[in-house]
Amino acid sequence: MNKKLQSIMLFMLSLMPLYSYAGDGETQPLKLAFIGLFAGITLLITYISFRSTKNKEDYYAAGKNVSSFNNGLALAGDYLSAASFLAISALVFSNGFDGLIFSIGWLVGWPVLSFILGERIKNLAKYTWGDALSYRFKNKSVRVFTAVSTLIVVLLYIVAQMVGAGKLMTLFFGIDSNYGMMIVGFLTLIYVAFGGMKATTKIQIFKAILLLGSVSFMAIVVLNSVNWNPTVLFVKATDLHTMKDSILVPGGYIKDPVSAISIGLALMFGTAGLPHILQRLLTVKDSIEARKSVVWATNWIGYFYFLTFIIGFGAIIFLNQNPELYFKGGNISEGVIGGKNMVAVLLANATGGEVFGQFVITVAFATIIAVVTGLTLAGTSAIAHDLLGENEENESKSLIKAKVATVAVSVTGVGLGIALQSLDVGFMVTLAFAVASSSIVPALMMSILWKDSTTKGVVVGGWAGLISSIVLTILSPSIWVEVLHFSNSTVLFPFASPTLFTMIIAFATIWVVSLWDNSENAELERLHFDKQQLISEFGEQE
Amino acid sequence: MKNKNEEIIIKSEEFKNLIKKRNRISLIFMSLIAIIYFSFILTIAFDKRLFYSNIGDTIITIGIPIGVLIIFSTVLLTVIYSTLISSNQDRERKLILKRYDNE
Repeated sequence: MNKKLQSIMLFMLSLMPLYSYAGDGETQPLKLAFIGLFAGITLLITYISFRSTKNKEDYYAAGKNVSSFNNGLALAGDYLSAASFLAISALVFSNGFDGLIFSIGWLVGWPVLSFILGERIKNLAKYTWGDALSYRFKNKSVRVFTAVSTLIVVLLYIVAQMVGAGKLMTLFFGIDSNYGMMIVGFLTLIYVAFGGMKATTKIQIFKAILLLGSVSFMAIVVLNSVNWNPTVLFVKATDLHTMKDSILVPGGYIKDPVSAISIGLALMFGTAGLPHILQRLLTVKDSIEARKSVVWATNWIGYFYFLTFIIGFGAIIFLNQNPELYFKGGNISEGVIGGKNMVAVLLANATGGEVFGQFVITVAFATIIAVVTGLTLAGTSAIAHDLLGENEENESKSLIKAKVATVAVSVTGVGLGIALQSLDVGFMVTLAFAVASSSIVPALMMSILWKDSTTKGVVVGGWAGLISSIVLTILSPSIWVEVLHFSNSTVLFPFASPTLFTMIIAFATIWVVSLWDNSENAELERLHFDKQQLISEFGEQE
Repeated sequence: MKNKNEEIIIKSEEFKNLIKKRNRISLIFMSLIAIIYFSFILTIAFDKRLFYSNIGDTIITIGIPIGVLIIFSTVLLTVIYSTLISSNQDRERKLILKRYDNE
C-alpha cells in the first residue's frame, strides 16, 4: 500500500469519532468546535509526522533531534495528567494545605531522575530503558523482564487514565463512558501507530502549552482579584471556606509515618522509572541535551504545581462567593455542580467566562489524550522493540510490527478500562509508581552503578520487586477493602504503599543473587562494566 | 573512539576522578532533596501541630511558606546541579576525549 492511500485512509478513519459527537443533541456547538479543532490539529500533526517517519529511529526516538526546550515541555506534557490538573485543584479546594503536600510529592521525583539515572540512560540506550539494562546484560531474560515491567506500569497507568477519561467524557459531553474510552483509545491508536514518537512529542508540547497557558491565565485572574497580596488571598479563602482556618494546616492526608515514608519513596524514585518518561529522554541528541530537558521539565512542573495551589485557593473564593452559580441547588453543603473534579472547570467559567470554561474542558480532554498517547508508545516499544526484537535487515517490517503492537496496547487498555471502570481504581497509579520504583529503578541503578551486578541478580531482583509490589498492594486496604470488599480487620498489609519494603526487597535480592553468581557469564559481565561506565559517561562516539 | 583508546581512558586517572566527582555530586544532591522532602512529610506525620503557628499577626501558618519553599528549592536544586555538572564536568569530558584521541 502506498503512503498516500494509507494517509487518506488514516484521515477517513479518524473522522469517525467526530461524526458521532455531531449526532449527540446535548453537545454544545462551542465544545464541538474546540474538540474538533484539537482533533484536527493533532491529526494534522500525526499526518506530518507520518510523512517524515522513515525508520526506527524516527518512530521510537523522533530522529533524536528534539531540542532540550521542546523536550522539556514534552516531558511536562507526558507527566502532567488530567488527575494532576483536576484532582489536585479539587483537593486544594476541599482541603487546602493537603493539596500542597500532594503536589510536592509529585514534584520530588524529577531531581532524582536528573541526579542519578537520566544522563546515563540516555548514553546507554537507543530506544527504550530496556536497551540501557541490556547494554551489559544481553540475555533474553533481561528483555522479557524489561518488557513485562514496562507493560505492567504502562497498562496500570493507562487504565487509571481511561477510567478517568470515561467519567469525564460522560460529565463533559454526556456520552456513555464506554464510548468515551473507545474514542480516547481510538485517537491515541492513530497518533501512535502512524505518527510514532514524532507525533507523540508534538502532541505533548501542544498539550503542555495549552495546559500551562490555561492555569497561568486563571492564576493571574485570581491573584489580580486579591491585588497580588497572598495574605488577602488566604484571609478571603478562610472566611468563605466551611473548614475556616484549618485549610491552612495539614489535615488527614498523611497518616502513619510508615505510609508517609513508603509513599514518599514511591513518588521520589518512581518518576525515574516511568518507561514513557525514560523513553522521552532518548529523543534528544546527547546526554547534555537530556540533562537540560529534565531541568526544563522540572521548571514547568514546579511552576504548574505552584499555580494549582493558587488556583485551588482562588476556586474557594470565586466559587463560594457565588454559590447560586456553582453549587448544586445553590447550596454549598451539596458540593459543586458536576462533582468535585469540576472545580478547575468552574473556576475557568468564573475567571474567563463561558468560552474559556469550554476551552478548559478541551484542555482537560487534550491532557488525557496526550498522556495516554505517551504511555501507548512506551507499551508499543516494550512489545515491538524489547520483547519481539528488531529485524535488522528490514526496517519497514519492524515498523509494521510496531503498528500491530500499538493495536494490542490500545485494545487492552480500552478493554481493561471498560471492564474495571466500576472499581475504585485509585490504587492503580500508586501501584504503577511502586513497580517503577521497586523494580525498574533498582535494576537500572544496580546495573549502571555497581560493577558486581549480574544478569541473574538484576532479573531475579527486578522480578522480586515487581511481584512483591503487586502482592502487598493486593493485601493492602486499597485493594483488599476498597476493591475486594473484605473487612478492615482482615487487612494483612496496613500501609498505603508497599514501596518502603519492596525497594529493600529488590535491592537486597539483586545484591545477594549477584554476589552468589559465580558463573562464567557473570565474570564476563563484571569485566564489561568498565566499558559500560565509559559509554554511560561519554555516549557512543563516532 | 577506537578500542585501544577506550582501554587507555578507562585506566586513566582523569576518568576515574571524573566518575568519582560526579558520584559525589550526585550523592550530595540526592541527600539534600531526600532530607528536605522527608523532613517535611515526617514532621507532618509525627506532629503536624509544628506547622500550626502563624506568621506574625497574619492568618498565614508557617506550613504554607515552607511548602511553597520546598517546591522552589526542588526546582532550584535541579538547576544548580545541572549548572554544576555543565560548568566543570562537560569541559573535563571534552578534554579527556581530546587528549586520548590524539594518541
